[in-house]
Amino acid sequence: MPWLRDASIKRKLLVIMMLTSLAVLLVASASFLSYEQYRFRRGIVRDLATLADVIGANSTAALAFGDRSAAIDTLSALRAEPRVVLAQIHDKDSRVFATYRRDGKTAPALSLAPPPGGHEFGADHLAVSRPILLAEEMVGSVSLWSDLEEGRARLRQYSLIAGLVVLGSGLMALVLSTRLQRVISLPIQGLARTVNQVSLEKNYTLRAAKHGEDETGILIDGFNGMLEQIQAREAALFQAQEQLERRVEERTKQLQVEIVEREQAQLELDRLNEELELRVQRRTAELEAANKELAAFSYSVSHDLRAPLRKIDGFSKALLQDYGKALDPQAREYLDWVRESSQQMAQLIDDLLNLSKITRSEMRRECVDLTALALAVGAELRQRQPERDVSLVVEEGLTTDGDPQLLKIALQNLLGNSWKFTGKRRDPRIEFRVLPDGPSRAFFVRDNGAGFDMAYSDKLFGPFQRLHSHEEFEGTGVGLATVQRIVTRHGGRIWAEASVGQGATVFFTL
Amino acid sequence: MPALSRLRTHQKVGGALCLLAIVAGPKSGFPQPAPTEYQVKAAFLYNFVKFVEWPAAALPQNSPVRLCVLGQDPFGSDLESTVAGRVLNGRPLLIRRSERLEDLGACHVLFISSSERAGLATVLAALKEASVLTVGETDGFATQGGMIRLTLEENKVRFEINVQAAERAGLRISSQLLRLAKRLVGAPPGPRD
Repeated sequence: MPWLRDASIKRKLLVIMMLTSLAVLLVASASFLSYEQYRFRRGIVRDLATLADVIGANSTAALAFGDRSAAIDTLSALRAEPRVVLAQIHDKDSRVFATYRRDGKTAPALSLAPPPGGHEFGADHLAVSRPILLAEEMVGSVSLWSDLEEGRARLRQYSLIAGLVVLGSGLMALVLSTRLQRVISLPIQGLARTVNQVSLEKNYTLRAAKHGEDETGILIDGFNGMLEQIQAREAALFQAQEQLERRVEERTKQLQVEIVEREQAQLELDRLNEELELRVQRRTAELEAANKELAAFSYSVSHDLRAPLRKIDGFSKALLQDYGKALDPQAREYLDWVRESSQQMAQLIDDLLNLSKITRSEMRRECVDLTALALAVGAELRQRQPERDVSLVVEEGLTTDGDPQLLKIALQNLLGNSWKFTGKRRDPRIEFRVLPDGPSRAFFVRDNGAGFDMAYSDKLFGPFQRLHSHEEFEGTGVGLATVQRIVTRHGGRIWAEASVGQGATVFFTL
Repeated sequence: MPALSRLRTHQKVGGALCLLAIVAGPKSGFPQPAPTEYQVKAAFLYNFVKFVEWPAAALPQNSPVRLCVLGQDPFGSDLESTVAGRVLNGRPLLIRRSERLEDLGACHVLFISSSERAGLATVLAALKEASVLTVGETDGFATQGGMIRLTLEENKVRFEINVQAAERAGLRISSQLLRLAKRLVGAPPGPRD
């Protein structure tokens, strides 16, 4: 019933109750009318059969003696029964013996007489036939035709009554259901009003009024409970929101303070940086100046020191050559020492000159074949001391980007050191390789020579620092300092690993 | 209206024919000759038995009903053909004929022929107290003490009844039969008089 879907509960209840009442009343009335009609038909059949039996019983003699007028006379008694339209007495061969008509000659269209003992309803009449018995013998039959006017009249009358009853009951049902539907509709209407109000005003303190403990009551209880929960949550939400706002405000203030502090710190930092930069530049300039000064000083000192040394050596040599025979062995030995020391000093001065030259000279970068360089240095060393048998292993294809002259000096020093410190080994061995992995390529020179104590490794690369006595291994102590300077100038790093008697390894990156 | 027209056709059939049909039964249908006067009268005799009650002493249960003809028999074989093989309420019907009353023995219905007109008073007097339904044709039969007189009127068989005589004999005649009578003798005034 789509038309009822949007109607109010009140109207729905009314419609439902009215429709139900009307349906019940109509069904009851229809049943009553049908039953009445059925009863009427049964009654009229019985009445007519009885009537026919009476007529038949009174017509036996007339039939037996062929007295038609007597039979007609008997039939004429039917005038008292106005519903009988037509009556006929038939003899035992079904021939009409006597006839009675209610309305004279005009006879309505009627069906044939049914067989004796039967009855037949036509459109507007009933025909009943009864046998006439005389001494247990059927001597004929009586047939009566009745109109159904009485039935119609009764039907009309009862329909009218039923109509009035339906009308009256309907009115009563309307009045009653109008009153009674309030029991259901009023609480629901109240609930609907409250729901509307709540959703319009967002006022969760409202409550729906309860009328009873039925399902509507449960519904209203549930609704009120939900409202309570919403109210509580609303309050909690409000509180939480306020708290949050307060915290946001506090935090914002804190952050603003922090930002100011940070800005100040940044400014301070920038200022310090600038200052530092300035100081670094100043210090660098100072250092550069000092360095140049020092280099110039050491160069001039070295240069100037060489001339007297050469004279000391030269005159000591001349003294030995020219007056050797005149001197006793003790004096000659002293002179030899003088010469040796002056030569050693000359070497020291050369090295110092080299070192300062390395510091001062310009860097020039190009591709350098380290393998070839190392092999060349090895050949030089072998030429200098052909009596030694040192196994030199150089890894193939080592190239790098750098200054070839400086790198040659570095390799001369490193390989020379190894050559020197393996001098007391029976199976000297020197390797020049690169470490297979690592962030930057690290080259290394490894030997199986004397090695050193790692406790002194921090002194290794300082100039004039020596870990062995001059008697044990000759040298000036400038070599590794030179190498460190070259590596540093290439932007690399240098370090060493060793143990006493187990050989040493010097690593460097470029 | 076929029903009506058929009804009318039926009505044209004569009353006498009808009567015979009732007596003769369904075996005798159309066409058949009009029944003779004595055929009708034989049927009347037979039908009277149905509308008369005899005292139990005169007609015990299941005993046969005796139809007697006194004097010259006007029926010929009609009486036999009417009654033959019929049983009324379990009673068979027997027919006796005689010229003398004594020869007939106990009768229930006695048809007194017109030939006995002379001795009628004697015969009726002899039967005065007996439970015998007397039927005759002679004029004044009923007034003389006979119970039923058959007459012929406009070619139709009618009858008169002496109710008093029947009552005296202890016979009860059905009111229907009385209603059909042309005349009632010795009775209080009825609806037909």
